[in-house]
Amino acid sequence: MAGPRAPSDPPLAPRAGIGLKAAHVREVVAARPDLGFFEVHTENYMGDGGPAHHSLEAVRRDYALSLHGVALSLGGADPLDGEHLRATRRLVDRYQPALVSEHLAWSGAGGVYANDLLPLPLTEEALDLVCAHVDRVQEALGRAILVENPSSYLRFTHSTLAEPEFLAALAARTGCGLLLDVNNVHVSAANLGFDPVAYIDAFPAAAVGEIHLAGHHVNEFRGRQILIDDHGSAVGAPVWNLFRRALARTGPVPALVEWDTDVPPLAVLLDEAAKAETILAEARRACAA
Amino acid sequence: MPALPDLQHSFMAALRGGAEDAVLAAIAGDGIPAAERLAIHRNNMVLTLTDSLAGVFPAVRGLVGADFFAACAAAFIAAHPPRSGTLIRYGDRFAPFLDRSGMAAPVPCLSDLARLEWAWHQAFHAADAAPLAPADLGAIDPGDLPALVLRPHPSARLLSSPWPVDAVWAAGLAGDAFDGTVDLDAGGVDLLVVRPALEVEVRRLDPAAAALLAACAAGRPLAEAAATAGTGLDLAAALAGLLAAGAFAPFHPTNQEHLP
Amino acid sequence: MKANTLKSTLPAVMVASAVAMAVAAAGTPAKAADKEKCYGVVKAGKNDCATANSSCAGTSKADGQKDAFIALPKGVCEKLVGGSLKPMKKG
Repeated sequence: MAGPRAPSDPPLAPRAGIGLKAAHVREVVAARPDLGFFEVHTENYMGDGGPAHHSLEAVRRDYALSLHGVALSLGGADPLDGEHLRATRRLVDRYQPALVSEHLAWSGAGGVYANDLLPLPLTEEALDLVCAHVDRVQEALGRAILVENPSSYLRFTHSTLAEPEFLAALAARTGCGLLLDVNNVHVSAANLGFDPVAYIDAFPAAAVGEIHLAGHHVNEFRGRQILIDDHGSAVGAPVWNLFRRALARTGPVPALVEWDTDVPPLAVLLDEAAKAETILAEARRACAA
Repeated sequence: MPALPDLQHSFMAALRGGAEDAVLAAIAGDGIPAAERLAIHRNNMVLTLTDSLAGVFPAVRGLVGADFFAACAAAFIAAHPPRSGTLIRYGDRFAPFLDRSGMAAPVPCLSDLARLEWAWHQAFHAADAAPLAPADLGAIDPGDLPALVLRPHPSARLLSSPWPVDAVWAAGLAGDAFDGTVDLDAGGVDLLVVRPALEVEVRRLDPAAAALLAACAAGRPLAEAAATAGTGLDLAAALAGLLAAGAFAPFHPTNQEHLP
Repeated sequence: MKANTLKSTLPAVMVASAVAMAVAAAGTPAKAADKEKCYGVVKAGKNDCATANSSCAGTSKADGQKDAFIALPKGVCEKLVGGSLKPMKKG
C-alpha cells in the first residue's frame, strides 16, 4: 500500500484541546482562548453549507482541528458506506485537520443505522474485518487515522483477544494510530470488571496519537454500578489518574476534553483543559528529565 | 459462536424490539444480567435519535409536550430508522409519518408544522449562495426577459398549508411561554423558507407569488411562469418581494443557461 | 414536449415593465454587513459519541415497546382554537 501519511499531519503539538460546541462558537472566535486544538464530530459538517461550516471555518483560521467521526462503522459487517467516506474526504480536503479519528465499533446492520457505538466480539474474524475497513478508509482519505477504544457495557463470551492486544494488532497491520480514551477505559473496566491500570499498562503506547478525557454518569443497578459514558460532567479523579498513568507510557500527546451533554459555559471547559495542560506539562518535564 | 454478520443482524433486530435469545446467549453476565446490558444499547438508540429529532422539530415538541413528542418519535424510529449515519439527514419522513400513523390526528396541523420545520432544517444546511441581486436582473436585455429562467435560491423551499402554520410554529417555539391563542380558522398560508445569508427566514407569500416561484423552480421561462401564476398575479410586486427575500439564485457568471 | 398545447405566456412588454418596476422597488437587499460576526442561530450538532445517561434507567424491553396511549397535554387545545372542522382544500 502507498503508505499513509503520519497520523498527525501537519504535526499537532501535545497540548490540550476541547470539543467545539455550537453554543461556544461566538465566544471562541471573539476571545480566542489559548488551546492546542478543537475537535468536532465529522458528521455534523456533512451538510452543504450554512452556519455550521461558517463557524468551523472561522475557528479553523485560528486553531488546529481534529475530525472525530462517529458513524463510519469500522466494525460493521455491512460494506463501508461509500458516500459517507467521500463526504469525510471532502471535509478532510476542505479543513486540513491535524487528526482524523474513528471508533472501534459498529453502528448498524442491513442498512439500518443505530446511532450508537455498538460492541464487537474481540475475535480474529472481527480483527480481519476492521483491518480491511481501516485500510480502505486510509486509502480513501490518503492519510492514516486514529482508532479509539470504545466504552463498553457488555462483553461477548466468544471474544478471544484482550482489547489492548486487538488494537495493537490493528495498528501494526494497518499503520493506523490509536486514540486512547481513558474515560472509556475507566467506564469499561467498571462495567466489565477488569483492572483499568493493567489495561493502560498493556496498551500499545507508541501508537497513541491522542488521548480523550470526559466525565461519565454513575448508575446503580441492584447494588452494582453501571457507568454511562455520557460526556456530561467534569472529568473524575480516577480518570485524571489514568491520564497520568497513560502519559507516563506515551509521553506528551494531544489531549481532548469532551463535554457533549448538559454543555456548561465555555469557561468550565477551559478550566478542564487547563487541568489537562498542567498534567501534560508534568509529563513533558518527566520526559526531559 | 455466531459469525459476525449473523451476530450483528440479530443484535440490530434485538435493538429494534425483536428476539433477543441468540444475542443474550453470546453476552457475558458478570453480575449484571445480559438483558440489562443489551437494554442500555436499545434505550440509547431510541433516546439519542429522539434527541436528534427534537433538535429538528423543536416547535412540534414545544406544542405537544415532551412526552407526546417522545411517543411520536419512538413510533417513527421503529417504523423508519435512519438509513445513514449522517443524522442531519434524518427526519424527512417524520411529517408524512405523523399523517399516516394517525398519531397527529388530535392536532390536524401538526404534520404541516413538521413540514415547515423540515424545510427550515433543510434551508439551514443548504449550499451557500448570495441571492440574485436586483441589479443583475436589471442588467438583462429587456428582449431576453420573457424567456429568462429564474432559478430558486438553493435554500428556498415553498410550503402551502390550509392552516396558519407560521403562527402555530411561533407558538410551538415559545412552548410553555406562549400564553396567547392561534385561530386555526384564520385561513391557510403560502410560506417561503429561505436562507439568503446565515439566518433562515420564514415569510408569507401571496398565493400568486408562490405560484410564480413554483413555476420558476419547475424551469419555466419568466413570461410563461407569470401566466401560470394566474390572473391574481401582480408581477412587479411579486418579483420585488421575491427579490427582496433573496428567493432567487444568482446568475452563474460563466454559464448563460438562464438566457434564451 | 406536449403536442397541441399552446403555452400561455405574458406579453413581452408587460414582463419587461414589471421587471423594471420590481428592480427599482427591490433596491439593494439588506447587505450581510455583520456576516463575519454573525454565526447564525445556535443549533447543536446531531451526531456525537456520548451515551444517553438515562440509557440504563432500568427500562425493560416491555416498557420500551409498549404502545401506550399518551394523552396530549391540555394546553395544546387552549393554544389552538378553531379548526374542529375538516379544513377546506385550498385553491
